Amino acid sequence: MILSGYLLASPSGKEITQQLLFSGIKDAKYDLLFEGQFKNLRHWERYEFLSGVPIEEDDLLRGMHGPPFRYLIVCVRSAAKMMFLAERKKVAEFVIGRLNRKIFPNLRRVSILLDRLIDSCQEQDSEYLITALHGRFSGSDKRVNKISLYGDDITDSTIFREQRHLFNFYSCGIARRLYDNLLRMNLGEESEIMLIGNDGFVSTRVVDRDRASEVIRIINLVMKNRWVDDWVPGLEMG
Amino acid sequence: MEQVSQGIDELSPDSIPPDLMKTILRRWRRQAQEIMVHAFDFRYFYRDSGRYIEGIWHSWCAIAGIGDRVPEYVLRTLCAISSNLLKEPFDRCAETARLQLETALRRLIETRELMSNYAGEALTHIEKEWEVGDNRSSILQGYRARLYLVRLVNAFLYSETIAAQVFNDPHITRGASEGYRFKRNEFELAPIGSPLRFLSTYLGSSTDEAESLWVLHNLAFNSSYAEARS
Repeated sequence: MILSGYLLASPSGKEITQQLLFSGIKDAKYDLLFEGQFKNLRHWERYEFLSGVPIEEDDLLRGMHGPPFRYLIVCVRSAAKMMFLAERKKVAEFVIGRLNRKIFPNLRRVSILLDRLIDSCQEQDSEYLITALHGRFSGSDKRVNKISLYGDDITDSTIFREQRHLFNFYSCGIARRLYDNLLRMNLGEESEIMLIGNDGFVSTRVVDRDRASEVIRIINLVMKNRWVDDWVPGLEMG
Repeated sequence: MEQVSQGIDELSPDSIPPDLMKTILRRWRRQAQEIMVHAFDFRYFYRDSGRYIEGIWHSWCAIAGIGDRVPEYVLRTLCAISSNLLKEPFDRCAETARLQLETALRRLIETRELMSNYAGEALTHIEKEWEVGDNRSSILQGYRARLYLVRLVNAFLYSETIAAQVFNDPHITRGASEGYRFKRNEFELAPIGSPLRFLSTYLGSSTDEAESLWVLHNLAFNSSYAEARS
């Protein structure tokens, strides 16, 4: 199951409690139910968001029944930071929007300095490498808008090294670098730990406990190196 | 440019004594400079012919008493937007530039926000003087002569790498059409890594004061230009 959403933080530095989530979301039309741990993972909380109306028009075509329409939400809370995930990005955005209507100061998406993360993955002794890159063209040629690159180690490729300066990358896929740069046996999606965006976007296929730990480790790498906005509280995630 | 204005095919190098050279430089220096500046500005900043024409003509139309300069402004505009068209054969380059200019001027006139009728005068001038049969110099001839200046800009003053650096903004995001999530007249905390890219995206051709203030406010408080490059 792929989960997508955003990394959020409280600018006031106050802890994001479960109570805050409930009070932010619940009202006459919407409800939030806590359903325990997600896949028995510590700190990964499973919720069900209940809505009187479908969040997306296509929800009915997807076979959803309601009202209430039920959506899976997964949260990883840690002090003033939270990873807020759903089965679709649109759902996460909708619920975060609901949350921010009542909470003040609003929880904000954590902007990530993606270039710094990419630079670090370029080093041969780094733990991680880049398996996907999506970016916008910054040059003046109007015939090109965006670029997407996929591969086993994109930052080591000629096209990346020679053309990088022409693009602003807004999201990247990250995988673990193997010892001595051994070739990867399971290519593609399976080896990719997560997709991370400069607007705080995160997406991952949580297959097991190890994958969940890897996701948190990457988030902490970003936090520890302060590749985030100045206002983001400094603590790593639990 | 001197050849065209004199109506001769080619000035022989022998027929250009130092005095004539001085006269030519004195006569054409300002116009040559303006054409090169505008081509430079277009390539690095505006990038889009519609946006450039509407922006620049909106400014010119706000200045009183420069109606006599409309022919020069027409040539200057044609030259600037041609810097993107130089790979085309001359006839196609000229026709495309003319079409882009006429289309944008008509669009501008339709807004009814212009403070003078220079755009209308420009359209009439293009219609009458584009290609004239007698000995008078036409827009097309003047344009052909000035295109050398545009080639100079493209060859010696333009770099795709620098152009990309000017618009480099690490905060550009997915989804939104131009990469920014700003909504006009709404205040956001999102940082701006390239003030020029932000301006180019949100600077409209309208003269709405609130919108201009919103743009300035964002540039003043959200710009992280230095940080983005550190």
